[in-house]
Amino acid sequence: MIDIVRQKISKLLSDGSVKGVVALAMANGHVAPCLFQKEDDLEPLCLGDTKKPGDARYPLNKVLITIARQYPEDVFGVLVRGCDERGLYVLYRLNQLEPDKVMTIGIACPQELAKACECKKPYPDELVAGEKTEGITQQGVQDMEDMDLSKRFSFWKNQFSKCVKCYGCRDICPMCFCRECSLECEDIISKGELPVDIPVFHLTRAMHMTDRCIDCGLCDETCPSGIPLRLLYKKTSKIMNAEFGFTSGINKNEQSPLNLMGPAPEK
Amino acid sequence: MSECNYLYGNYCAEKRVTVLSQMLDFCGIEKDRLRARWVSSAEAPEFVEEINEFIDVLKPLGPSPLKKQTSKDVA
Repeated sequence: MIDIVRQKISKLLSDGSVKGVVALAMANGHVAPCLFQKEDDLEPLCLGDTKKPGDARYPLNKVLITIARQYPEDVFGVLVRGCDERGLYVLYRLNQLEPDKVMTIGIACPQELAKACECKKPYPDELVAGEKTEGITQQGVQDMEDMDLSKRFSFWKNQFSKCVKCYGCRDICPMCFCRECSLECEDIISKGELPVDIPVFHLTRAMHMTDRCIDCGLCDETCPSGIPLRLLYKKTSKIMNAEFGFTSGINKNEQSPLNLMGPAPEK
Repeated sequence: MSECNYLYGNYCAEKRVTVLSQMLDFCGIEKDRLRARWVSSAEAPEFVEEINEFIDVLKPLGPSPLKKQTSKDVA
């Protein structure tokens, strides 16, 4: 798979259709995001496979936003998995990236990774390398809904109490791009105090994720306290789907019902 | 609903409240603790009525178990 990706990147760079490609590189035994600009410099390119396939993932879209803000006229390529591509669709929708300034190099995730990520769509629409594998059915939200109210309350209270307010979930999130963050607004979130304001801190973030979260699971992987944040955002996605028939990042040109002026669209 | 001074603001709020109330329920907090109603500033009696109704719902629920101890309580 990596050879096809390398060829594709090399071609894009040599014919000048992109200024650079944001992908992953293996350096000193570690996987890190890297901007490749020369076609003969692709040796360290990797797909984030260390011990298992794709176990080192990075929010490359987030790196791309930073670069695109500096060089708004240039076209950049980016390595995308299914989740990354969903993220790009949302970033186009929210005017953070221009679709005609981005070229994707889509790779499908192997079944093993799809399973590990509980991914519903482990392949991008525009596929360059890899075989499409089947999406995984998710169960977590239903299990939580089946518990009674007081059980849910104590579960989340315990989970939220573990938070050390590192802001890792926000910093890793490919959908978090705001220059000013509500989680740093002292009118909402008290500063320098632990435990966090329960449930304000986590629900504020969840509400901001309602029409954005693309279910990549990086927040879960990052959280040092092991709070099941993704479960919270899965629930918001489920509500959005049930109430408004909307799924974030599935259709390239879909607008969010929350941003549409006026009443909720007919189901 | 369509008479809002801010045109569509109340519709936008309504959609978000729909999501938030279900999220509260998901986190084990009674969703009756959240309520959104639209009352014109010229409709004082309606406002009072709404608030009184809300109080009647809130009282049996009691104080939130998440209520923080204020410095006043400690002293």
